[in-house]
Amino acid sequence: MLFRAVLVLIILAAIPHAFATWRSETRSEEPLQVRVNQENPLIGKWEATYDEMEGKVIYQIKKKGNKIMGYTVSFVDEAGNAYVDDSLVLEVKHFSKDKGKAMYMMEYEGEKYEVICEFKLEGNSLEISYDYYGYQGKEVWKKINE
Amino acid sequence: MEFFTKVLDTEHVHAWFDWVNNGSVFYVIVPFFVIELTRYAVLNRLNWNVVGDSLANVITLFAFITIEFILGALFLYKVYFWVYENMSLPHLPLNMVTILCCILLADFAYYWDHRVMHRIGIGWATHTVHHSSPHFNMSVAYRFGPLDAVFPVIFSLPIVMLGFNPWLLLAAELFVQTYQAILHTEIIGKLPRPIEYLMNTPSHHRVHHGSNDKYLDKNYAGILIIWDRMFGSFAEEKEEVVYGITEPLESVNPFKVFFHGFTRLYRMMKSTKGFKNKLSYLIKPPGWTPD
Repeated sequence: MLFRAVLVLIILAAIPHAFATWRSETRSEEPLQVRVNQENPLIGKWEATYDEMEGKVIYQIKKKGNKIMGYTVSFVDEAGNAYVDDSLVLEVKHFSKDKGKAMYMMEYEGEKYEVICEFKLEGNSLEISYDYYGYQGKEVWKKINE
Repeated sequence: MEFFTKVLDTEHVHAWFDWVNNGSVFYVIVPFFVIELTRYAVLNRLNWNVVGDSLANVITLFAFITIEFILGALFLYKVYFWVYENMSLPHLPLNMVTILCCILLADFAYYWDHRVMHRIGIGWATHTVHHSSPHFNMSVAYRFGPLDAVFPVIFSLPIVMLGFNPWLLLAAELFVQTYQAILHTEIIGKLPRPIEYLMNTPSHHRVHHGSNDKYLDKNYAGILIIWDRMFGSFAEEKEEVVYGITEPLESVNPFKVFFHGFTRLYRMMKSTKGFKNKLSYLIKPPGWTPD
């Protein structure tokens, strides 16, 4: 009886973990759903500051195939020292007029999370908000003139 | 495959569970209960005992919710999230596979939690409240005992340790409870054989509420009856069910209904000599005596 119970537990736990692993490995090969054109106002460099860290983070949103993706470019500390980074942070799923939805890849205490976020473009500001099981976050990215 | 692995919007998932778990009270439970009352009236069975019993059920529900809310706010919420943050496998993304497996695991945990509540004294002291009604209708589904919210914690924490978000697990557990609630009816007879084989049905759950010898401690399932078939606790509805417990309560006083399991347990412990024997009443099956 114990063996059967443990077996059921292992199977039901293993299935979603296996799918999650498989999904993360094949993510980059997924079909693309976002219409992109060169006039897209999201494309370009952005910077953001956060309460929990000093300095700022520079992001770049760019067209990658048919997708619009956001990457970290660098972390800039208070002294102006830049630390280069190239992590995927944003994958735009939908963008219409000045609003949209995206997948926000974030890291918290060493753990990676994929959270659906909503964003709103207001002039040179991109307001990103998300709610992950009650953990709410909001950040504002400012466009950098290049 | 995309359907199963696509990461879902947390708000949409919460809204869906809310519509099913909470909304169903208004579009399934209450209308069904009205039909059941009408049926009682037609069968000349609508009397003060049925009405008083149903009112007692609703009152025990509020008492149960109050206890659960206090426990949740003070203690359980913190424990679940501490375990999730510190003792869990990698956190699972919110997609259909995760949701389906979480519901199945919640159902599996429900089976064992339910079985334990029937088979140890302290568990039965609280769960006997649910079984003490001599009637079987939708209101009985909401007849809870004082510690009915505590036992599931023991069985659901391991699921959190497997990487399932506590909020999702809570929603899945409520989904199992909601499915279970709908089974509390005499109106629906047996369903087609494949359904009766796989799923818990009103027929299977009537057996669970029976005090007939052959029905005692059978059919613990929440959604899937296959757990009972797998673990040897299944019984089919063959003879007419006599609802209630082997020592009938014979009261619709909500206070008596809510606490009678613990008062009976206390009396038995008090009248027994020896610390070991007293303690045994808490962990031995109901009906156990030191002799």
